[in-house]
Amino acid sequence: MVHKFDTLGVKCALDVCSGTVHILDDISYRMLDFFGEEGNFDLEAAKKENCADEKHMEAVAELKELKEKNQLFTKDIYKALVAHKEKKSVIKALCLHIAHDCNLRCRYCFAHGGEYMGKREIMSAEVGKKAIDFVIKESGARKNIEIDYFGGEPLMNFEVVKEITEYAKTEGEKHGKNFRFTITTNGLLLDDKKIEYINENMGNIVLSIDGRKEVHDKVRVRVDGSGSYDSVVNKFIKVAESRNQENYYVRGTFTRDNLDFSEDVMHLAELGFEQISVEPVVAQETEDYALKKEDLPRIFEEYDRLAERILEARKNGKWFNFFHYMIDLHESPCAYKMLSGCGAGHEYAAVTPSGDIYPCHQFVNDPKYKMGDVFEGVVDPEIRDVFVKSNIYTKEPCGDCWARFYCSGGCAANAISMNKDINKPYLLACEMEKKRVECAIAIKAREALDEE
Amino acid sequence: MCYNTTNTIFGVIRFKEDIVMKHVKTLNEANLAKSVENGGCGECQTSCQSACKTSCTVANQKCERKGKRGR
Ligand code: SF4
Ligand code: SF4
Repeated sequence: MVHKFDTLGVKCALDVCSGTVHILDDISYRMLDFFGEEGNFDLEAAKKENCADEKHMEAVAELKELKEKNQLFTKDIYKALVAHKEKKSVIKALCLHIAHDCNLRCRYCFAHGGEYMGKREIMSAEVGKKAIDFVIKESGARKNIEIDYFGGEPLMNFEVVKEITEYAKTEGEKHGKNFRFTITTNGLLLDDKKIEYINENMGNIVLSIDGRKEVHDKVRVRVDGSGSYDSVVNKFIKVAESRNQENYYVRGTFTRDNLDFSEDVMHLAELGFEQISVEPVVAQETEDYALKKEDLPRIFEEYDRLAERILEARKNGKWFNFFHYMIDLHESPCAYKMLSGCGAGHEYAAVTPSGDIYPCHQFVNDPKYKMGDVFEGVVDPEIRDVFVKSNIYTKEPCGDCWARFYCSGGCAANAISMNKDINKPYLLACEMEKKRVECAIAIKAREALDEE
Repeated sequence: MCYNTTNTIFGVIRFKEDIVMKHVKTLNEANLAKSVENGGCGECQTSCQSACKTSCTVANQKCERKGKRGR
C-alpha cells in the first residue's frame, strides 16, 4: 500500500508496509495514480490521460525500480505476528491513581473533578505497595516497568507517592526490575522540595498547561471558578529548567474554543518550553467545547500552520519539540509494537485508590471493566482477552488505513465510549491522527530538502 | 558493477542498475519487515494514545534495542 500526499508544499509517497518515504516531483506524483494496489502499472490508463510520453515513462521506470527494491508497494506481512504478541504480552506498566481528588475543576476533565464518577478518595501506601508487588509478579521476564502517578492530582498525596517509589526501587532491585516513574500534575502544589524529589527519581513529568493565559484560565479553573495560569506557569518553567529542558512535557488540550491552537503552542515555546504537547480534547459531541466533524478543515489548516511555524522557528535557531510531530523514520519501534499500540488491559492497567484494577485510566469505575484487585493479584482473563485480541487487523477501518503502523489502532477507550465497540475507532480522532502523521513526515522532508 | 547512489538524501541506497533517479528522492531507509527478526523484546515503553495522557503516535518512540536491531 502506498499513501501519497501533498503537504507543506512537498509531495510525498509513504510505502506503508516498509515505512519508506519518498519525495516526489510533480510527474512521479501524478504517475503514481496509474499504479494499482499491487504496484502494477496501467499503461493504457496513462495513455488515455496523455501521461505516457518520455518524461512520464522515465518516472514510471523509477517507481518500478523502487518496487523492485522493496521500497514501494511492499506487502503487509505482519498479521502472523499477532498470535505471537498475544501469547507474549504481560502487564509491565501501571497507572496508579494516587488521588481521586483534585484541586482544580477543569471543564473537559474526563475524571470529572478527579472523582471518576465515584467518591473522593486517596490511595494508601499499602495499596500502592501491593500494586508494585502485583506488577513485579505479572511482568514475568520483562525488566523495564513503568509506573505512572496519576489522579486526580497526585501531588495531593505526595507522601504516598514517595513511599511507593522507595518501595518499588528496593523491590525492583531484589527482583531484577528497572522501574521508571512518571508523574502528571496540574502544578498547584509543586514546590522546591517536591521538584527535587521528582527530578531525582522520575524519568518523566507531565505538566498540564493549555497555552495562552486566557485559554488556560477559561478551562483550568479552581473550585471557585478562578483561573490557575498565574499560579503554575513559573513553577513549570522552573521544572523545565531544572531538568535541562529534557524528560518532561508541558501538555495542553485544545477544544472548539481555541481552534487557533498553534498560538498556544507558540506561546508555550515563547515561555521557553522545549517539550510541548497540545492535544485535541476528546468529549461527547453534546458538550459545547467538543470538536466536531465540521471543525476538521479548520483543524487541518491549523496543523499546517503549526508545522510551518515550527520549521520557521527552527530555522531561526529556536528549537522546540512538538510531541505529535516527532517521528523517527529511521529507528522507529518494531513491527510487534506497531500492531497493538497502548496495550491497555494486557500490558498496561490502572489501579484505583482502593486497589481495583481496570484496563486503563479511562475505564476506572465502570463496573463492566473491573479486572480484579491488587490484593488478590489476578486479572480477569475474559476482559484481558477483549483487549489482547484487538489490534489493527481486527479493527474495521485500520486494516486498510495507511496510518496503521504509526497509529496502531487508536485509543480503545475512545472507541468504546464513542462507538461502543473496541474494534470501531473514533473516526474524528483518526482524521486528526492522519493529518498529524502527514505533517510530521512533511516536516522531515522539508528539513531534508533544506539541508541539501 | 555500477552503483547509483545519487537519489538519497540520507544514507546511501545502492542500486545495481543504471537508473539515475531524477523524479524521486528517498528520504529514509526504513525496513519494518526487518524489525520482525528479533521477535519483539517487549521492553519498550507503553504509549497511551488518548488525549487525557500525553498521547503518543507509536512511531515517535524509541526502540529499547536501538542499535542492536540493524534497521
Ligand atoms: S487512524 Fe484510525 S483507522 Fe487508521 S490505524 Fe488509527 S485508529 Fe485505525
Ligand atoms: S485505551 Fe486509550 S486511554 Fe487507555 S491507555 Fe489506551 S490509548 Fe490511553
